[in-house]
Amino acid sequence: MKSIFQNKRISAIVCVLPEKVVRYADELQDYNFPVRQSEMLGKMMDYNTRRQCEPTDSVSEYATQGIQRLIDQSVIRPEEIDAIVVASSSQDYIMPSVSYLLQGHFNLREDVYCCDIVQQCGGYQFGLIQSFMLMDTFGFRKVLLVTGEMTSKKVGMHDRNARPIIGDAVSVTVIEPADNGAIYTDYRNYGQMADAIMIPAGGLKMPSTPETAIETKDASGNLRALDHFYMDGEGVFNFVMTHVPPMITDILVQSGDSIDSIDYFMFHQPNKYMVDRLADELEIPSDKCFGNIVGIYGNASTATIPLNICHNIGSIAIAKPLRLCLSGFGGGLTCNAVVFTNPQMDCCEIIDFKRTL
Amino acid sequence: MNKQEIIQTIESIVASSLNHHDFVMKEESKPEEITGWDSMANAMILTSIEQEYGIKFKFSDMIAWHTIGELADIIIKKQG
Repeated sequence: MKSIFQNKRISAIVCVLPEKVVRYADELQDYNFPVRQSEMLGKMMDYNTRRQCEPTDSVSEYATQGIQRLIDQSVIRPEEIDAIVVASSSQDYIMPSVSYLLQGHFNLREDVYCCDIVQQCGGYQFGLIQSFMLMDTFGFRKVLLVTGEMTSKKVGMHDRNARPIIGDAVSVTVIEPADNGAIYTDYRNYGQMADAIMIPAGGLKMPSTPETAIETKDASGNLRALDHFYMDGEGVFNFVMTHVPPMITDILVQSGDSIDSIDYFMFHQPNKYMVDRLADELEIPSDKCFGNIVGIYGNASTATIPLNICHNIGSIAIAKPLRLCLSGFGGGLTCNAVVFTNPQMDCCEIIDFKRTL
Repeated sequence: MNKQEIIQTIESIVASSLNHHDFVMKEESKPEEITGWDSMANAMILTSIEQEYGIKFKFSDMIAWHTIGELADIIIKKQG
């Protein structure tokens, strides 16, 4: 679905990370594969470090510190927040929603619009689109978009396909009116492939039981339980390589852009291999498209694009306007893209979560 | 390099990537017939082949072959 919005910017992003750093090299013995083979895989996929939350950490706690940081830096004032949009699959509770917890924590106005949308790897763009629609419908001037995941809690420790890539992070993005012209968006959904990325047990359809916690070996020798995150790596790779390049090509035509006219392509990063292949397919120069986030922080799903922005172009985004192409793809399955010129940002940073004693 | 030599090189790369040599590599061999050749292994194997021959596979190349002989043909074509 192609849409064009007008005159909105991302004015600030704060990403909040767990302090705990885990290393792929320390866990090779956990996998049901020869260590040497796992080392080769790690080298090719750029598996190095990632951030991992503690068992009782929650998205709302991390978002609270991100929002507080924005308040402390005078980027936002609590009374001017019109909406909180949370795009995540890592809800604190089945109910209430994280957006209400944040509204309550900061004693925000009663008429602040609170909305959680359950999203995975494409969630940042869906959150932006949701925020743009709210601004156009209600005339909102400051929307907080919270994205982030704590998927490490749902990954099997013996799953070499998933555990090495999954990291935890939460981001808070401020969206507000600007004078930056058209914002082109496109999203395409393929629910027929919903089971390619999923956590089978633990929801209402298949409650967790002692049986769903039992690990079994798949055809390739990998170990995983029904309680754990699952990704059909080959299926997702084929999906991304089939559907994302034509979508990016289409949106660039629609926006009147070329690869050259875009300053940076900020893609979701499932792993470095997939991002590199995607960039090659689209003939995007390596200095315009980064694949380093998973090897440093891990893939935090809905928070990976804001992390990509803050880590790789944060200082540039604060210094000058940038023409950006954001694109997410994954759980759904879905893929989406946003092309726009973002004016200079007021804040773009990564902080560690501070644990209170 | 002729096709048979390329198949021998692929055999060596596959054995190294999978950490075993419990297979006989023939022109008509298919990945699904070789233990451990899953999607992750496939990524490793194709990347190693690219490095070995100084080529880059497009996605259309990666899904265009079913047998080792067909993969060797693509390598030959890529080398020009």
